[in-house]
Amino acid sequence: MPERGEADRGTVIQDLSVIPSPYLSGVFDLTDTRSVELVLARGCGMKCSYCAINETPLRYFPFERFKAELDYVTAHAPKLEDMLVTVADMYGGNDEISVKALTALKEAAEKYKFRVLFYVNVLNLDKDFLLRMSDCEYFDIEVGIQSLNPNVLRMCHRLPDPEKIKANVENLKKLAPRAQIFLGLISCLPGDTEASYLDSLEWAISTRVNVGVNHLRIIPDTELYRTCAGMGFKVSPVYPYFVTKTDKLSEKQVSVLTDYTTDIFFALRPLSFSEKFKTDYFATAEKLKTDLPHIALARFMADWCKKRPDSLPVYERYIHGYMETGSLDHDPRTSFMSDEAVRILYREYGLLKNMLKKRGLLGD
Amino acid sequence: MEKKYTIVAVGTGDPGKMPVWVAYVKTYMEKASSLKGRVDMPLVFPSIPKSFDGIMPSIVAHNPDMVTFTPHEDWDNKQLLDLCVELKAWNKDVTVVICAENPRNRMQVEAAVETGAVDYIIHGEAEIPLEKIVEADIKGTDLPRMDNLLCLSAAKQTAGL
Repeated sequence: MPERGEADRGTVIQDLSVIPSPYLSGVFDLTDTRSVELVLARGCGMKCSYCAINETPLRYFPFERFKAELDYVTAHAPKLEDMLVTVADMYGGNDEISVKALTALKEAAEKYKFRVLFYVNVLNLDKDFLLRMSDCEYFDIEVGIQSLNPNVLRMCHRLPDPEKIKANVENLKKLAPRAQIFLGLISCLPGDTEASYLDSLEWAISTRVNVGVNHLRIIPDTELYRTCAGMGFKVSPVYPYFVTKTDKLSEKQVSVLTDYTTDIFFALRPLSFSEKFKTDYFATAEKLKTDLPHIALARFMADWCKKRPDSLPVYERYIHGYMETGSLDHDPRTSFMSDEAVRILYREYGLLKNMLKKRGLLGD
Repeated sequence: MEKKYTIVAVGTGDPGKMPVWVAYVKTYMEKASSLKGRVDMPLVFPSIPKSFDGIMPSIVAHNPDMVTFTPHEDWDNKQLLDLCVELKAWNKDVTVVICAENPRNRMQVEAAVETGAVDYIIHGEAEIPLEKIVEADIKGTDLPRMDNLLCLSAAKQTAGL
C-alpha cells in the first residue's frame, strides 16, 4: 500500500492570491443558484486532534478579492438564499480581515436578505468587538464546543476550561442576540464517559440555542487515529470512519448512547418550529425534579410519543428520515417537521406534563 | 496550433452549491500554473444531484487526457469508482485523479487501489500536486515525490497487483 502523510508546506500554495477567483473568472452561471460558498481562508492555525483541516497552515485570500467575489455573487445570483463563508474560525487568525469581512457580509446580507453561515472557535468568543459586529439577524454562527470535560478537551488540544467556555457562549448570546447560534458537540471523544457526554449535552441544550452533535470519525493515519489505536478504540473500516468503541464506552454503550441522542433530538426538533412550545419546554425543564432536566424532559417526551397512537407515526417518520441520512450525526437543521406534526407533539407534550405533575416530578 | 492538454473535472460538492473547490483547481491550472495557456479544464456537472448516472458521455465528449473527481460525503464513492473503471475501459491511457481535499471527502485508498482504475489520489489542496502530475505527463519527466500525493498506478506496479 502506498505511504501517506501530512501535507507539508511545499505542497500547498502559500499566497492564495495567485489562484484566480472562479467567481470573478465567470466559471459559474449563478442565475438559478440559491446557495454559494465563499472561501475567505484555507487551513487552520489550531491543532485539534480530531480534525484534518489543520493539516495545512492558515492562509487568507486578500480581503479585496473576497469583497469582489461577494459583490459579484450578490450581483449575479438573484435567487441567493444562503452563503457559507469558509474560514476555520471567523474570530481567530486575522482580526483585521475579520472586521472587514463581517462588515461587508452584514451589509450584503441585510441588503439582499440571504443567510450567512460561518464557524468560530469558542476560545475566541471574548473578542467583544467581533461579536458585536456579528449581531445580524441573517448570521448563523456555528460554535465548536465539542465537550465540557476538561480531560477530553486537553487530549484534543482544546481549551480545557468549562467555565470559560460557558462564559464565552453567554458573551456571544449577549453581544450578538439577533444571530442564530449553533453549538457543536462531538460524541465518543477519547476520555468521554456517558456521564460527561450527557453533562455537556445538558449544558448545551440549557443555553436555549441550537445544538448539534457529531459522532466522532477518526480518519486513518491522523494523529487521533494513532493515539486512539493504542487506547482500545474501534473505528468503522469504511468511510466515514465512525467510532464504534472508545476507551470509555463499549460498542453496546456507543450504540445505546447514539439512540438516546436521537431520541433527545426528536423531542427538541419541534421547538425550532414553535416559539410557544420552546418557551414552555424550557420553563418546564427548570421545574423538573430530576438530574439533567433538559435531557430528561426530552427523553420523557420521546418515550411518551413512542407509546401514543397519534405521535408514534411522527416519531417513526423522524427516525426513518434520520436513518436515511446514513449518518450518526445529529444536526438540528436537517430534519423537517410539518405544522401538523408540531401540533400533535405539542398536544402530547401537554398530556405528558400532566402525567409528570401527577407523579410529583414537576415543581410549581 | 498545439492541442491543449484537456482535463475534465467532474464538478461535485455540497448538493445545491457550485463546486468552488473544483473550480479553484481549474482556474489555477488554466491561468496561473506553470502550464497556463497549455491546459483546458472544462467542468462537467452531474445532472442528478448526488449521482454520477449518465455523466460518462459528457466526459468523453471532451476527449480528455485526464479526468479528475472530487469525492464528497453526500455522493456515492462506489459509483464514482465504477465510473473510473468505465473510463479506463473507454481509454486505458486516460489519467484518472481523485482530489480528496478535506475530512468530508476522503477516498478510501484500498477501495481505489482495488479498482485498478485510479492513477493518483491527492490528499489535501490539489493545485500543486495536479500541476506536477500534468507537467510530468506533458514533458515525460519524473514526478517529484510529494507527501500529499499517492501514485496508485505506480504502487500497483511495485506491489505486483
